[in-house]
Amino acid sequence: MKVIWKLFLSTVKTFYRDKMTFFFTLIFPFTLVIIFGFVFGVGSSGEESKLSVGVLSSDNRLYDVVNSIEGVDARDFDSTESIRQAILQGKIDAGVIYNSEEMKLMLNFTTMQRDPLSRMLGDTITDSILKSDIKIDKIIDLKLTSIDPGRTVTTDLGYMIPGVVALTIFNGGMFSMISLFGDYRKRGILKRFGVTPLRPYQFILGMISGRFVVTISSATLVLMLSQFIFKVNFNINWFLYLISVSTSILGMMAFGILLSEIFTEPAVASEMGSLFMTVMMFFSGIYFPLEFLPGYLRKIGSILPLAYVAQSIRIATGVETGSSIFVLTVSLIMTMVFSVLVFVSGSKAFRSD
Amino acid sequence: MKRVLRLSNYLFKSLVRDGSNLFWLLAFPCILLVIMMLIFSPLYEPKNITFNLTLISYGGTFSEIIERVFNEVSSGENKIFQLEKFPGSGGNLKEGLERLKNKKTDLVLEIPEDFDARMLNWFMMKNMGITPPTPTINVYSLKHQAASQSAYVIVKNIFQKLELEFLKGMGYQMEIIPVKTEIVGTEDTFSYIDFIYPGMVIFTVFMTGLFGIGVDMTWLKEKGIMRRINVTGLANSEFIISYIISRFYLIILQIALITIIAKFIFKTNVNPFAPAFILYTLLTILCLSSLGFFIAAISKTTNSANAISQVLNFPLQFLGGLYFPLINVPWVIRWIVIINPITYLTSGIRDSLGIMKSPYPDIVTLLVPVFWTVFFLFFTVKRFGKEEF
Repeated sequence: MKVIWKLFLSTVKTFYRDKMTFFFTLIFPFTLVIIFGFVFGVGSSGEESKLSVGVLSSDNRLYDVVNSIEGVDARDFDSTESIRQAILQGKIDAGVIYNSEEMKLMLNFTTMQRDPLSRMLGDTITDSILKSDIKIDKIIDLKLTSIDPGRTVTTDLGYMIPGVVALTIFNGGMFSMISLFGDYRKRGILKRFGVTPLRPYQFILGMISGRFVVTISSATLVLMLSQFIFKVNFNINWFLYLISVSTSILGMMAFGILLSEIFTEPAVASEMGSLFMTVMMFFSGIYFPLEFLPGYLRKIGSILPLAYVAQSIRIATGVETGSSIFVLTVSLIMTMVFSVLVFVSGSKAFRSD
Repeated sequence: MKRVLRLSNYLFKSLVRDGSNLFWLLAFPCILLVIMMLIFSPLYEPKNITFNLTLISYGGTFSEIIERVFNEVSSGENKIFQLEKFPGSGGNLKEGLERLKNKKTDLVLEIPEDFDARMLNWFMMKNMGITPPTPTINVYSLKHQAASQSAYVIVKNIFQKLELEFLKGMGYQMEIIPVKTEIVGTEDTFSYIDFIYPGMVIFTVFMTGLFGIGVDMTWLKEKGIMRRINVTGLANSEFIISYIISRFYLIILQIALITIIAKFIFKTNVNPFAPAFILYTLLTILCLSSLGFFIAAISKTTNSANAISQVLNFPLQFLGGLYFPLINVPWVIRWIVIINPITYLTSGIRDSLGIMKSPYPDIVTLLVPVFWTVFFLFFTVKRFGKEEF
């Protein structure tokens, strides 16, 4: 037990000394939250941002019509060029120019990125003009109720953060096992341990428990820091959180073991890990919406383990509704896969050395 | 000269023989280009998207008209909605909302029981010249879900068109106003591949600068390889020239690969032989290679060079406008955009090709990268001059 404890402590120390692992497990996911959060307009305030639209028309009503549209803030301009320049410099999101016969909608490139259907704004404005001609505001009132998917009311950024925690778990779990089963084997470290009184299970247990504790602390730190910095709300069910995070770490460790088994050269396994990380980062719906992707890509996204880990953590942190059975099933699968792979790979690694 | 070329050939071969370099410097940029195209191009050109819509209706003349409209847009090959209809009841609404929370539907539309009566009332009062209260339809969307929010925008648009039809039915004369849409700063033939291709060219040079030069050069320094070369009679300057030429070969290979994918798979309209493209690519090579030498100059160990490169990699990459424009980002991150040389290289290259107008004057897109190049080279020469290889 003492040996395992010593190995555990040294693993924890190694993590904080290794700049690269520290960077990819803690700093990297957090940097991405800040970048994508601000670039894609994921607010932390919880208030919906209004679309700023520049207006140019000989018809004075246009300003009022545009201003009356839900979620739009009109600004007066005196020339087409000034609207174009304001859009180019990012001072406004869009512009409308109306000459009683046709309307020109000018859009900012980033507006389209944030809202792919912003092109429909032109139709909305012309329909409103037609109705204002006959002094009718609307016939049917669409009363929108936006429902929170979870137990707690949170912002878009708050909804994104459990996904970032999942990415932290993925990086921490996968890369630690690539280094244990790939790098350590390649550098003959396992062989050297083989001649010591240390039993293989003690070595594996000590290393894995160290990496496990480091990853669970990093994931929880990312969650807590985000909550503190961005002032987002979570309603954490600690039992579900600890179960889902712990088993997800095991599952991601299993993924790392699998990569080390397939790619016996540790550098290749590590590169494949980075490639999977990139694919999962983009296709598991953590940072970017998948709804606009072709069907086959959405299907690929739905089979990625990171998508399930992220969903489990969203349920545990209360930002998404879901049954405990889902979380427990994902947890069970992760644990089973981990147990099988660590047993097979662990005994193989020590036997071969 | 002959031995410089021979050494540069050797350095190039040893670089591409390394699996890790082959992956990160040659394969990864191509993979990233494909991923970027798959993820972002549908955002700019949305097509063939079907949203799940739940319609709960208590029936009636007007409700049936609305149902017919939604049936229409929910049929055929290019249908907008996958529609499921339920008769009006509290239980069905509860079930619909449950399906919405579980993401089995994107939007729930409830036409209330008194909707028909209120619509009739509206038309009658309007005909009498009285402003009547507007009938309400309840729409339920799910927060944080792009599909739900987009489905609402489309439903709102459908109702606007429907209102115009109702008004025409009342005898109002209305001529549809044509709308022309312009995405400011872009060509009419804009496509995402034209936008991303120059960005990916800069990205590959950036990767070579950081890892192929910055980390690699530090490794040569750390392992004392440069010192060993020094005793062979080869001058330091000859080695550096050979090293630069070998990286130049690599960059040409990288750009050729990216160009083949962009041109033959994604059909970009960009002409890679346009003089402006070549000029900005050369400026990019100069600026970002200097950054690599700068990293090598300030790093004592390969580990620290790697850490510096990783820390610079993501912020400079994502906040340089390589993949998406960054014209109205908040000040928290805008300062990185402003001091980032990649910002000006991407803006300049796209503007010169007519893909997207630069928010900065031409002179600025040239001078800022030149300033950084001079700064990096000055610092590197000064630092390397003091070091003993």
